[in-house]
Amino acid sequence: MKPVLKVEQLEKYYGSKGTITKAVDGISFEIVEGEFVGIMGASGSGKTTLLNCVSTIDKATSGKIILRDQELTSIKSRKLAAFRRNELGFIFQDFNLLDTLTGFENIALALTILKENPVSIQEKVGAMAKQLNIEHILEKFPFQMSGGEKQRVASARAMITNPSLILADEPTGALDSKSARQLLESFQHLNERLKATIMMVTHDAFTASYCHRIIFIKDGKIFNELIRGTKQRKAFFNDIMEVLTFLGGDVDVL
Amino acid sequence: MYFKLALNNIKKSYKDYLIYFLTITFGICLFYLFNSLESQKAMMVLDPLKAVALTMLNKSLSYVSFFMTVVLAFLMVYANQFLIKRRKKEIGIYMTLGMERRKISFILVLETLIIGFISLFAGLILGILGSHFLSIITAKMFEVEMKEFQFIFSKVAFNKAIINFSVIYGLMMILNIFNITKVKLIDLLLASKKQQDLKIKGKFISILIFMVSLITLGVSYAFIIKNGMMSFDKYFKWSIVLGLIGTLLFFMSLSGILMDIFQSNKKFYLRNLNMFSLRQISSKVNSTYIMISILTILLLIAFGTFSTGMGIVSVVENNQSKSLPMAMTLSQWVDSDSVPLDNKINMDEIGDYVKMLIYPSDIQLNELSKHTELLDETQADLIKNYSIEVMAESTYNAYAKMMKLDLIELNHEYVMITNMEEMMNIYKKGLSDITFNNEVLSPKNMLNMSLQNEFMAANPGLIILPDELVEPLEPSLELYNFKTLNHSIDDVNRMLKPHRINSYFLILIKDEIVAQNLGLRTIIAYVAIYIGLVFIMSCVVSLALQQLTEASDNIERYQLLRKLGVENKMIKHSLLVQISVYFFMPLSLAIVHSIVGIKVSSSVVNILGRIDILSNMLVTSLFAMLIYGSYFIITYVASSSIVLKNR
Repeated sequence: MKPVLKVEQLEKYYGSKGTITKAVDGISFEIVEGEFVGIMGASGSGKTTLLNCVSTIDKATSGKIILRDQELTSIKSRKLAAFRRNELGFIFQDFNLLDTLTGFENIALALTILKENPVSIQEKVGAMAKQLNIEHILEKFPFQMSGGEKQRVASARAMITNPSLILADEPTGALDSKSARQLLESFQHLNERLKATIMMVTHDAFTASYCHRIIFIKDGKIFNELIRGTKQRKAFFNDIMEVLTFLGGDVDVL
Repeated sequence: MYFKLALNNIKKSYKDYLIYFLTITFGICLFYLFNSLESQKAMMVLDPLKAVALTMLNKSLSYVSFFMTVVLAFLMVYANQFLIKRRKKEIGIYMTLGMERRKISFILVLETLIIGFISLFAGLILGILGSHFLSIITAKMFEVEMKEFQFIFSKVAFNKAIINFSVIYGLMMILNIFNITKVKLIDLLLASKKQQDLKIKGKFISILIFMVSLITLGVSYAFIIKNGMMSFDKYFKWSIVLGLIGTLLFFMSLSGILMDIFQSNKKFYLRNLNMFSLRQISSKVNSTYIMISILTILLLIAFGTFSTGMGIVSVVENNQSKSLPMAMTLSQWVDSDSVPLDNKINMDEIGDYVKMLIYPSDIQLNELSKHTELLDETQADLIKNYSIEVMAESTYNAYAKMMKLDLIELNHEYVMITNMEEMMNIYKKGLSDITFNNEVLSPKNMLNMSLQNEFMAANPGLIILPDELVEPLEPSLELYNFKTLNHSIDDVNRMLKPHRINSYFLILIKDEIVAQNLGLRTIIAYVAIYIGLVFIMSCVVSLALQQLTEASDNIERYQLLRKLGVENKMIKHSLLVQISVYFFMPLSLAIVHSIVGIKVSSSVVNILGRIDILSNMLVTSLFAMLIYGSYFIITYVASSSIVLKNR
């Protein structure tokens, strides 16, 4: 299958001269269309830096990021905003909804800034709300919603533009387990029905168990890779736990 | 070490400090200008009566200047609070690092001191230059060359500015220290996370409130038009009360109404960032409608005083040449024991003159003209029952000969003289015949002129009759009109002074009146214009600060928009829309209010003389726009730099 995202020898250094921190140190991987990929790692492992580079919020030191045949590092900073709103969808840990806008407006915003036709905006938002089961909260303001509802609205906002890649940064981080399960089921639904390609950063094994494939990162390098294949989610969860113990194991090395 | 830290802080956040700095500098500049006027009063020629009036005015001026100080102090405190708010997190971090509150306060005090010192210096220099510039403008406005109205360095104003502003700075420092010692660390660190609550009102209720506000404002306008601003009766009071309530209700319901209107137009609402901008505006208006209403009222007062000030200036200007045709007029009321002045004083010695006697009559103005209803109510009341005065044909001709005017010849006729435009308009509609000592006289013509020096042109009517009809009458007033004077004003006053001990007569010397009118009215106009400017300034500064706080509070929202891929251009456009609406909302209602108000008040000023409302309004709005515009641009630039900071 055709890769949507191709990361080649990506490096991101912080600091200057004497004190260089290699946050991302030569990572390469691919994500194909319709894949639901998880990135796991301890804090400081470089997973958020990786996400920031892919999302064009941060600039890589060297290496290539190719999204749908477009080389990200060669896009002029002037065009970055347009690239983001056309090709990417964002879901953040703390929802990042605009608290002055209703649910409907928060979702519609992604389309209005693409200058879509107002009639089709209403239709699209309606359809997406149905998919995510949030029709009843479209007229509510974020402060009237629960955490899970907020995150589903945020997901709808990320999905509605039909982006090449959805980037989710710890989407369940601020949710209780029930809401987290609901949200992940929606992700699964979006992924299977609408063929959405999702790259999700998380440190939570339960959340990660919904993915097709998991890339483990340690000290800026790829440590391991797990593929779910035809396994049940529970079995996959156990595999993940195993790798995680392994990952954390080297603390005892000292 | 702390000094260096404070200095670096200022350098680092100079953009935040800019608006604060500008506010204080402008404030000090205005303060100096206003107070330096007192030292310019030396230029005025004063008699004892005027001196008393001036002392009173000076006293009220000092109230105004106190009021000014209070307004400026509020503004500065507001600006200061804004700065502190912007830096809450920084202060919080200092505190978590273990810096003592005392030392943090010390840094803030140093910062305030540095900024205060620079702005005080800059403000005073601007003020000194400005007072020079203003003197030139004022002199030009009155079209008089005034040698005394020169560049003056006012030590009083200088000292006053330094003392007052030092006190304000002192207060501000105490406030800052108080703030820092009282505040909780957790609040400082979480300041930016505070969620703002939204008031949601039903559609129906907001429409209802909006309708009520329009009706209330309409009734208020109707009342003030009926009242005519002539007395503080119940209409006036109710008009003010209803005006305030109407304004408040208007802004209370406005955002709901606007949201409904724009939301129903999906094509507009769902384009670009329109819905974001509208929601921002509506939540802002919802939470600050009281402040917006107050600003509207302040702007109204500003426009009112400003344009009235301008009006007074033009009235003085127009009236002067007309009401002062002579170099000097001496006048004395004649009664049984008064001695004619020319029996005591050698008039020929003083200058070239004509003696004129004025006689009373039983003829009332409304017998002469049927058109007094053309006057507005107040003028009509004053003038309707006015008994016309009379003068002999030969007296007028002597005057006309001296002034090189056309002589008149009466044949069973009379001539009407007035120097008031509105009376002239009435007389032009036709004059009736009159019966005087059984003789019927028809109107010959009308003259629009002054016969003597007056403080202002206020002679509603005087008729010239054939000599034989006047002769049997007893004069009520004797006038000595001097075309030229042989001596200086001081010498003439010295020559006349001994004679004033035994009898009271009025000395109206043209140059003196010009100077007096100029002195007093300049101050009145100046004060009005000044207060107007200060009010406009205060409003605009509060608006600017509000917007800037808003921008810095909402920084996360804008960051999110940028993450979602909104271009900077679009964000800037949204900001521009928000700031424009926020700036021009109070302005537009204030303009509507003041059009009504100025229209009504101009009829009051009109009694003093005709004024050109339009040009006054233009000048007023030009000034307002200038101040408004510059603050608007500064706010927009500063907000976009706050919002689009870092990447």
